[in-house]
Amino acid sequence: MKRRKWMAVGLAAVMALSLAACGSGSSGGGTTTTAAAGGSSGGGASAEGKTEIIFWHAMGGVNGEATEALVKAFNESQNEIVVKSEYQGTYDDMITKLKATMQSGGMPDVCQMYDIGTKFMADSGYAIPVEDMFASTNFDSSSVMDIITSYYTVDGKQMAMPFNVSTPMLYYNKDVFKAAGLDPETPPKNFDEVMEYSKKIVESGAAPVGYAQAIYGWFFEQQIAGQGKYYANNENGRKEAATAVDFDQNGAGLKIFETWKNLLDSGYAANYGSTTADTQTAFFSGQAAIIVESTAILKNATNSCDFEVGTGYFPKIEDNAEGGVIIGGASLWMMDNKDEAKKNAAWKFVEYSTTPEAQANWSMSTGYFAINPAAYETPDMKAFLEENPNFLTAINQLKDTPVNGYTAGVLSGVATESRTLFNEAMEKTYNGTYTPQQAIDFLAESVNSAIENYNASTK
Amino acid sequence: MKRKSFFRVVEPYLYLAPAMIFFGLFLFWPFFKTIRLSFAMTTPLGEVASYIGLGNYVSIFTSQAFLNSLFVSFKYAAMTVVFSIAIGFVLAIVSNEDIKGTNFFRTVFALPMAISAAAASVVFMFIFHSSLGILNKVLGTNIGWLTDPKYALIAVTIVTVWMNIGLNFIFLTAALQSVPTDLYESAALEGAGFFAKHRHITIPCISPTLFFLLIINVINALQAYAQVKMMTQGGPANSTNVIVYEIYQEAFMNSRFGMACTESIILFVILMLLTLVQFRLEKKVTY
Repeated sequence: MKRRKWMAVGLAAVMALSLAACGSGSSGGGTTTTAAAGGSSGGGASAEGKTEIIFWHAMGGVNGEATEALVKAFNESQNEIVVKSEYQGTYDDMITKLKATMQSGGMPDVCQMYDIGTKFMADSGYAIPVEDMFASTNFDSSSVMDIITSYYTVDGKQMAMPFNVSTPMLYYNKDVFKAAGLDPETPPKNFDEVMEYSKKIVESGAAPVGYAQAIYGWFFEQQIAGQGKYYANNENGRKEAATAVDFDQNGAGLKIFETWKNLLDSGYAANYGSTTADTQTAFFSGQAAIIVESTAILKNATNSCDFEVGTGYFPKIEDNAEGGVIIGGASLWMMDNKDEAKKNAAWKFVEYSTTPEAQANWSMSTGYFAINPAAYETPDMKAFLEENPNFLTAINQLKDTPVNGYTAGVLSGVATESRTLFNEAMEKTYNGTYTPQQAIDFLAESVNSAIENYNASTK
Repeated sequence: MKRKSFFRVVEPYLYLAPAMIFFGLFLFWPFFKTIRLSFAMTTPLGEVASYIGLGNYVSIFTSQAFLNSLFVSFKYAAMTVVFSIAIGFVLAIVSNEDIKGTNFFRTVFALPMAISAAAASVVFMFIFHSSLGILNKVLGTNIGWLTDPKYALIAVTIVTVWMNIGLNFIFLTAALQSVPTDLYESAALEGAGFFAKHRHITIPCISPTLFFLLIINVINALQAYAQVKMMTQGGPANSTNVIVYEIYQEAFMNSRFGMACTESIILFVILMLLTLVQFRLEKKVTY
């Protein structure tokens, strides 16, 4: 009995010891590795004085590789700053993670953020407006196109640096156009022509579907700007925070819903739902002859289609000199980590991303267009455009867009929600639950209540 | 002696402590935080902007969107539960017959269980695609399975049923094997046919399992999320906007964490009631 007790105690002691050993072993190991890592990077810091900054982005696949290439090029271009890039998943994932770090610490120094996150970022108070940094390096702000920076300007101040910029445009199947007896070099410019061309395409049997577009709130916002109208009041929320939508008052929304509903009911167009990839697939496979999509899929479209792809301007509901396209995509934000060295380093990286060379490489490898017009003068880019004239459509369309409050786009804290609500309104219009007027009333009412809630919660 | 008894008193709690710490950190603390947030209006960062009492509760019960998502959830649960148990039951009975290759079929029938909801959804998205999908080709139809509000919930249900059959099949097979064979033998002597045998012997004998599956399936169905997120994002026209997806949207798309918490509480209450019903009714089931 006694022996057994002693044995138990002995065993317990051994176990405790081994546990302690494990603990000290692993923590010792941990210390050594951190010490080693710290030693090397610390040594590097003292020897070369490098500042390390963290850059978050949401670019996967081909675009991710291009982002890594940009970071690598920057790191090699100088020897003071090391940018560490971290892929964070989709834009939605990234904004969720960023929100968490805003509260708990550990924000990146530079963060990419999609267009519709602009209002949230500006309101958060954790971002350093890039415009505040211009003077520090004598940055020439005119090197970036006005039409692009206008989107990221809040209360007269440029908050973020545009990075990957896209607009919607029209894609069409040149082979189908030929088969239908249409001129393969003249895409439709407005929705009357879209209807007319689609009819010819379907009736001639050249393709089963003339026109298609995904149910996507972005296109709705674009068509409002195209008519030279505001999406929301207070000049699209840019004079002061928007308190209600404007598209129900100015008639722009109704016109869009009526046009799209007409087109679908004609039987010459099809609806592939709200997943944009499904509409793309329909186009790539030759089912639908004309679609509207982001300029960012151009590279993918050129690779995926075994017919000749044509591009044209985003078709308008009605011709209008004031109207145009709004830029989409994402921008680079500098996060305020209260560290002067990191702040300056972050700005140098952001500034580098706007150089003609960086922009030219970025544009050629992704299909996003260069925010710095000088990029189009580089020899590489010139040769590239010669071979891929479709890439010119996007940039010409933007050059033809007037810079004004309509094409600056709406600045809204509830942009994501508005798009979801738009989907519902559009779907219910397509299936006949709502008339276009009812859909607009529903959409305006729901978005207004979301805006009201947002304004109340951020006061 | 006294010290020993003190240790005796503390001892069980020490054993429980690790579990309690984990439960506390990852279950109870978030749970109480959820309750707290359900009474608040939150900033887009998820911090409390102001406490608004029952405001969130009032607005969700007057909001069309939430009531619709409750309705969709129950419709979805009813469809998936009925079909996945019924099909699982039929498969279990068939594979319980003494035929060649039973083990092969059992493996095949149970296999969908091993596939994640996300992977299954992606495969079914190809199948359901309105113009390129095989389903429309086979049926010779032109249905927008995932884009037409009339069919989208059915499509999501089909995927879920397919995924759930595996688990139901395994439970029911195990239950069938525990039914005493002498019951069947005496029934056969009495001249009972295939259907009579199963109706009067099988179903009563496996009723505890059936009941258990019923509850588990209902709860699973009410918690469905991945299929909806992958396949329809709640659309078209909110026809597949089940409650968990609605919560996700409120929190992470619309940044209204307070509302999302309120909806979670409602879901919790519903699930708790279902579990209570299970405990009550379980006593009445034949064992």
